[in-house]
Amino acid sequence: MIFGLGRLFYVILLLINAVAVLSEERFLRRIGLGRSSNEQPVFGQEGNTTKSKVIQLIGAIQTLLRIPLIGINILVIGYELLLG
Amino acid sequence: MSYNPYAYASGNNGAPEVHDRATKVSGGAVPPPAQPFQGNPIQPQFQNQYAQQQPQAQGQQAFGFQDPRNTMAFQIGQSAFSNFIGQENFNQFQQTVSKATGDSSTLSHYFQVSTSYVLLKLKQILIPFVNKKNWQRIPDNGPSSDSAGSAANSGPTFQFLPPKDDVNCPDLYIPIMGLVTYILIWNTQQGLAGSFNPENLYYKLSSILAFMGLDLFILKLGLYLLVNTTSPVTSLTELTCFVGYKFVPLTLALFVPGKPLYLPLMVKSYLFVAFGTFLLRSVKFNLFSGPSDDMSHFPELTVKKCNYFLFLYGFVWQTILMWLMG
Repeated sequence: MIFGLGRLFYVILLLINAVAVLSEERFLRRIGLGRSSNEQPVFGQEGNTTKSKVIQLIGAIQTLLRIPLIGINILVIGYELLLG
Repeated sequence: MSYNPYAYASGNNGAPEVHDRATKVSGGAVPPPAQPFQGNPIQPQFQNQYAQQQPQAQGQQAFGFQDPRNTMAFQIGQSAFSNFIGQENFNQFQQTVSKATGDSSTLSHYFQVSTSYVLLKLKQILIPFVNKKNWQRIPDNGPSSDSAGSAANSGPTFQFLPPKDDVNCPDLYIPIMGLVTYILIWNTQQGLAGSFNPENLYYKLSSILAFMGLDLFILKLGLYLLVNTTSPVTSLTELTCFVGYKFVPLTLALFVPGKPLYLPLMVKSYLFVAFGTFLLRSVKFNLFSGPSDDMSHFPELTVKKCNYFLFLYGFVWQTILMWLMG
């Protein structure tokens, strides 16, 4: 089974897109991964448990990558349309 | 990195020499070359240039003619840059760059191997059950001048012995050699079977790199989510080492004749189990022995979760991967 670097790039792009569209208020709070449920009395919000790390990771991906993802998605869509 | 990582000038001790891997430092371990560079912009200019002219006067041409020139050119560039930006900003800039590129140490550390190390490491990968001694890496106490110079830098510290002194340390030489060997042997076998195509070399390389990328992604994500540790084992370079070790059993699995059906199955399953054990043991025992370890006892839950994850990863996922790749 040979899948190359191009496919891997598409897979990772789709996964990151999936994480970026998770809506905070409509979905994450319902399943308990909302930001308000992550209460750490430590200043600076250091997460030590897995759940708080997941919450931080999702938050970080959404904040950082929402805008560049728009650009990368446009590029990939253009590439797929024009060059098959 | 724009400088030569193999040579640096230390004006810290007041004994100006150009250090290189050719010089034998009496401590037995090569001090990390990255740290004196971070201390250099603080020193006044004349001391650097004095340090540069000394080796030429001492006639230490054994280092090669280029080294003092390179280091002097670098010093000039560095001083111009730091005069432009400001010296504290330059330090911060260097630290940010080194943190962004994610190296817990310079790459040359992972290539300092010796023949006996390679043989012992190969034995460890293939027969991990024999070695009942501890699998911990030996921390390295650098000379005191380095720690005084590096106390002001909160950059990545690096405290384990290089591979040629310590068998438990991961290296990058074996994975890279294993990768090239594996690709060549795979294509040779295809050629012997009559279906060789020079493009296949590249297809195989791309496929292997994709698998390794996926592997690294999963491993890094898992270790980040489960374990809160600052040990250098979880840095990306070291994880590349561990991921790359699987080319050794893969290459050996290619040599097995496929005719009697039970033979490749037995050999492959033994190799995969051995590799899983090796991976599990070497990662597990080094995860919690970071350089700044105040708590001697981590919460039980993280240790258990870490064990489960590593077990699942080491045996199940690696077997799947190696089956797909082989």
